[in-house]
Amino acid sequence: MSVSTFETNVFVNCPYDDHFRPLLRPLLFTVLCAGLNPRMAAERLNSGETRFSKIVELVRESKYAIHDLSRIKAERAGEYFRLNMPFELGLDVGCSCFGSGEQLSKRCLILEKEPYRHQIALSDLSNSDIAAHYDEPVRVVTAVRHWLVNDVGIDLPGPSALFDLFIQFMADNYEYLLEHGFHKNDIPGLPVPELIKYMREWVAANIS
Amino acid sequence: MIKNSRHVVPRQEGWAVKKSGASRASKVFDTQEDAIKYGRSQAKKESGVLYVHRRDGTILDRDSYGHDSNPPKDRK
Repeated sequence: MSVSTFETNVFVNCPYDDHFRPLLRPLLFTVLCAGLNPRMAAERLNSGETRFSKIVELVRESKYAIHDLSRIKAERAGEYFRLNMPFELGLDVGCSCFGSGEQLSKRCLILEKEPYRHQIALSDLSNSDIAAHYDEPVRVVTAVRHWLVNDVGIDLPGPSALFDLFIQFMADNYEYLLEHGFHKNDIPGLPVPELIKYMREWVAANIS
Repeated sequence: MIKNSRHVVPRQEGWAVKKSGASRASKVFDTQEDAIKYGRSQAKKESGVLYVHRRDGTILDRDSYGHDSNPPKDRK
């Protein structure tokens, strides 16, 4: 079982809806392959605490963060754009700017759907390192892997090898869930905390 | 991990068929349909399992050609 500490925690700031799930799964898997501990507001179900206080706790307890801004643009006329992700990015950046001690060592990766799109809506970030994933699961693995290797300094296999490990996890987990009372239609909606638990166990058993 | 399993997986240049545990794909195809055809023939030969993955890694289809520990169940 991994120990949750500031040095290994990664605050994952992204949408939790079904449309983002295809990108969230490989993102979480890559973080776990690096020996890090993904933390999300969705990690504790049925909690009585407010979402804001949970976010503040996650920001404070995580050295690393991955902020996905790919859903900040409304897709249809009349639809509201999403402000939670940029708000939580602001909290994280603020914590590293105005905090003290270990907070000053905080590092983050910002993900977007397309390169340079954020410059229109969030031009304060125009000099920041932002990686584009084009809504492609394999590109999420590539972006997170490159950040972990080059900015954080963790050794990881190449993106294709990592994605193949993820594919193997998905097949093994599918079998496991079928054996444990899931119908195949239940599997895509597996709650995120449970998904992380199975990923963590698989990584511990299969990746040295 | 099921040893005799083949996976139809997305690649930037098409679809590949990969054996479980292998470091490289056995073959890459332009279309998913051709990859499934090849993967199925290999799985049959080895009495194994064929997994067809979507682009996000989830399982689109699973066919077993040997002893199936998880036979399909219908839900009414």
